[in-house]
Amino acid sequence: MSKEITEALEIHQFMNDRNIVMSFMGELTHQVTTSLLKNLKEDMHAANVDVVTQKRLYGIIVECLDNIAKHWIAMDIEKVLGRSSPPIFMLSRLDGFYIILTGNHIPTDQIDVLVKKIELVNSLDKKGLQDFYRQTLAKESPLERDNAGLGIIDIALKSGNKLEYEFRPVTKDVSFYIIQARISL
Amino acid sequence: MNALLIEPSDFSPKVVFDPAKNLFELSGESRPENTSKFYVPILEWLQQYQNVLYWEKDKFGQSQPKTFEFKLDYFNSTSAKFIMDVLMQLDKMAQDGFNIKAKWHYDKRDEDMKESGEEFSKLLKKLPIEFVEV
Repeated sequence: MSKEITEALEIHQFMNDRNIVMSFMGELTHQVTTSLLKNLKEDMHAANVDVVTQKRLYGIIVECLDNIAKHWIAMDIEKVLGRSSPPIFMLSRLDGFYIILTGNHIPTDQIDVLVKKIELVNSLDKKGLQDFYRQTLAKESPLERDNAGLGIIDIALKSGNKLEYEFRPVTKDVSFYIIQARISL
Repeated sequence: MNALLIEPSDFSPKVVFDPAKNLFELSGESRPENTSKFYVPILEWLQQYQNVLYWEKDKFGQSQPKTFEFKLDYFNSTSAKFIMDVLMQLDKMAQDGFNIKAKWHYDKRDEDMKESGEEFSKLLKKLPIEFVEV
């Protein structure tokens, strides 16, 4: 058996063991996102997931994918790294949870701001998150529209669980950012 | 004034703002590829409509009541900011004395959609929002 076939079997085994229901690695254009979301709707419907969970999971995934697309537009990874390294999206169903994981490159100097945002939403309960959502909604002017902020609060609200994250340095200026949200089935 | 009619897609809502029929509705899913490009014409239309209402009020007195219906299945966080802008624009009209209200429709199983509407309403000064469970 060739090395490639062995590796493919290992990947298949890993995805099977982890119950990964959807995964995608590549450029996440709006068209690709729409296609993934259509599949997701069908998968949730077939799995008889209740409507509230369906809507929350859908909302979390939209925000995660939007976030990747935003960074993808902002960073020309191939120029920075000298090779292609697309973002990844993974959805698994494990131990009573849907687990949503995305990974993408970000400029290292954005890490501190991101950590502060995630730690803040992780420290808030539902009421606190709703207040924070409202404050963010009220203060953002049309000129600041691309600033992330509302998305991460929305993910935390819909998830109902703490967000987990990790930053791996790739070069001095670029890091790989992984964020994971989970929602009870 | 011409109606503003936008057909829905898999990722953008249907818009029917038709003064001749006194029908104003935003419905469906909102996560447009370019949110600003989608919502700015809506906000500009509302601004023009406000000017028309002032003119009508000046000429004929108070116009008939208007209800803006929001029947959204889903909207992403970027859309939320623009939906807030639409509501703010309506709120401004209500503050200026026009007989305007909003109806926020939500699926009875979707408490999050109801709560989103409630969060919006807390940021408005005058515009009444009626919540409609469907």
